[in-house]
Amino acid sequence: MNDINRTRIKYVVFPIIALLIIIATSIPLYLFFHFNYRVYIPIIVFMSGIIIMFIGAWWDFGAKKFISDVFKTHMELNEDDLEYVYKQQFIMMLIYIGIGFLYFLIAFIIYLVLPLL
Amino acid sequence: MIETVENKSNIENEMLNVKNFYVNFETYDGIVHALDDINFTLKNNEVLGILGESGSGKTTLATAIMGLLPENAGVKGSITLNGKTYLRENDFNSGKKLNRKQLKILDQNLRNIRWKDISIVFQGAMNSFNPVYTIGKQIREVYKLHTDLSDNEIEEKLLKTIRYAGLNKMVINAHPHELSGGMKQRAVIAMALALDPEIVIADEPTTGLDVITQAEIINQLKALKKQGKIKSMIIISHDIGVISQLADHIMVLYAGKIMEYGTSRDIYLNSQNPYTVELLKSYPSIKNAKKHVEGIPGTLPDPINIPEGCIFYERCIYHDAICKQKEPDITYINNEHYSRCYFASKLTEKERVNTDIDGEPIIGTEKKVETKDLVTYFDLKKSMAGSLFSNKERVVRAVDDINIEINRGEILGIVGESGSGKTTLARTIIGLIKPTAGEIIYNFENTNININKIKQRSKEYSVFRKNTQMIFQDPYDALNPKMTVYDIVAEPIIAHRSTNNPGEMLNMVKSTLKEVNLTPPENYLERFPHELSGGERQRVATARALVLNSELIVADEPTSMLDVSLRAGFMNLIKNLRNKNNLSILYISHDIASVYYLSDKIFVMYLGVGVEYGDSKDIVNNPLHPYTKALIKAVPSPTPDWNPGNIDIIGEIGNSINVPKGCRFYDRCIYKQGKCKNEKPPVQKTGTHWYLCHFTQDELDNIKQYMK
Repeated sequence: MNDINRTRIKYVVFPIIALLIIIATSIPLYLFFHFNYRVYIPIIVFMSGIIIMFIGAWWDFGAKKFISDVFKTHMELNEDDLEYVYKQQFIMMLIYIGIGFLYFLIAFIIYLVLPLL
Repeated sequence: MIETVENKSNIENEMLNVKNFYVNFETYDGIVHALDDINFTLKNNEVLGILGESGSGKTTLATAIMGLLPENAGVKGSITLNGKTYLRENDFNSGKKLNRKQLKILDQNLRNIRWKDISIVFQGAMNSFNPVYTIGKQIREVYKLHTDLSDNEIEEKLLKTIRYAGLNKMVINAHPHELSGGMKQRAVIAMALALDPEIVIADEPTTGLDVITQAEIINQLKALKKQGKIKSMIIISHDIGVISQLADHIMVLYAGKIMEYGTSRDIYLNSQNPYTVELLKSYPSIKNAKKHVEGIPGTLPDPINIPEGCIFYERCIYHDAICKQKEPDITYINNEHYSRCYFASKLTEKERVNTDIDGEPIIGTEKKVETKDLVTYFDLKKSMAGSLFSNKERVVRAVDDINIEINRGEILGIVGESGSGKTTLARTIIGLIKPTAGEIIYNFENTNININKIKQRSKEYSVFRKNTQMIFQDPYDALNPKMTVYDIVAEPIIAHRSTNNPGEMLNMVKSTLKEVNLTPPENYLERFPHELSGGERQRVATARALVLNSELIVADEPTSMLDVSLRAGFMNLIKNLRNKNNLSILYISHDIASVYYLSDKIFVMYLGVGVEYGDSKDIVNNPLHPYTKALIKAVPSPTPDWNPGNIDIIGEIGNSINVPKGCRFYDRCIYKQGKCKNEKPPVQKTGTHWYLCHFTQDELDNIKQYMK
């Protein structure tokens, strides 16, 4: 795996872990208390998915800091470099939107499939 | 009859005439008297230098000539260009506001004058351009606004102007951030010359530039003057050396008043005003060797409450009872030279009483700090964002294989242009940046401390932190504006738990303030940074560094933000403190004259490597490396006779990313040969003086002869 994919995976780790935490932390509540997992968790996961999409759309993924570091260290930054930064930001945004859809999918699975089990 | 003809030709020769000119600013605190009774004439083909400390009214005069004064300015007197008065008493808000029609006419008049007749090179080229437009677009704008030229004609003119300013045409499509400081300054000059104005005003055109770039800009301005591209020029600077190189006549301003006016030779070689004399004395120059320099004590008078009598009275060593009672009139020394002083033409050489430096330095043999093959690289790809957004190698080799040592009581000066790695080296030594490789070994309280090997919670780390302190470049940013002087100076005592006793703490703070000449300390304890002058702030920063009796002080360009009159005082303070407390000091500056004045040894850096090291006298009097030679040659000497000739260096300092494989200086060296490109240069050593080059001095001389 090349460097850039490894970095993208690092960025993806945060929302995936967040998803797992949301799903897992409420399991004890479901098992030991009267917690309606099928009703509440899909809503929470669905709303978190929307938040993840917004994060992907609005977060710069550290691009501003990178550019300021480039300026601080008097490095060259030309149009091609800027285009590359925009491209990477766009890819990351798509990935985060994809993760948002993954959240939606999980929410539907919990809502629709869980009662069948 | 002859007199009438002479007068007529003088008037014809006149470009700009400023007559009985006063500028006041209305503020909430009262009326600020910025300019007071300014009279001068700029002739055709003349360069007038305006010299003075910050706050003396230099820039106000430039903005007044351009008609750019703010709305709260009140004006008296007139400014005439080619016999036509364009700015007079009622043009600005002096009690009554202009109506819309009057404002429109004034604006139209000034628009016709600006850039076509008078243009200005503003201070700080870095901020003069709009960062989102290319240089070409911004210069084209001048033609579009002020002329009716077609696009093709504009393009032709643009190319010519760019070439005149010594720039490549590639610059036209570049954005400001892509250019170096020197190139940006040239581009600003190109913009000012775009419409072939009669007068160019250059407001501090070299401030903030490196010494070599500064020399190149001076040469460029001289060449433009010679070619006739610049007809008349007003050059404003607080740098005595820069003014001496360019001006035919010099006007010395102090608190808005002309203190002395004369030819460049009159002012530098036969100055007849105590202020000019003191200003010249406070300028350290390589020519004056290690001769003692003395700053001017005190500050400029409050511009709201101007004192009666001579405005320089309180700071003047020649003052007499009469000076306080009545303001002196202008005394003519000759036709072209006058001074506003009672003692003009009677001034005798007089030294200040408090010029003594306490004691002699005792330089020990015990090493306080030693670096071994110190390397600091910044790899932007290391961070997550860096590896995502960087499509190429982005490693800055800021410090590469540096070996230095500072003995007890020694001042080591580090010189080099911006981007040579001086500050990174200092920050690495003091532990603010983690080195990539190499060792830094301290000797404090008789223990050797290798800071790469100690833990942050260890006792050694606390000893190391206590004994190393830093004085930062900018005294305006280095002090917390919400803390009083007492809090600022007491902070290290609290952080290092030196004492818990408030009485003892107060005594420590007071004695340190006394040591840095902030006396009586009681007057300063409760003051906030904004209530202090630049020099006082830097002294507070120094007191903070000294309060723990640290053994090593790192001073990173501590005088670069200070006024010329304060620099000398601060340098003497550093010298005094070293002699008294046997401090070891790492002094960083790009001003080789001040480093020479202070330091025992000098280390010259270029693109992250040390290129020469030796005793300061050896380095300055007998530089061996081509870079050091150029650096010393480029330092302007404050005398009109100084002519550096060719500085023997190519272009500007590159970046530390794509450094040459062999000698780092390869791209700029005039002596370069084939092997310099790929082979690392060896150290050529004579005693303690060494330099990094493939060639001996004889070989370098032969190469130069061959080139000739």
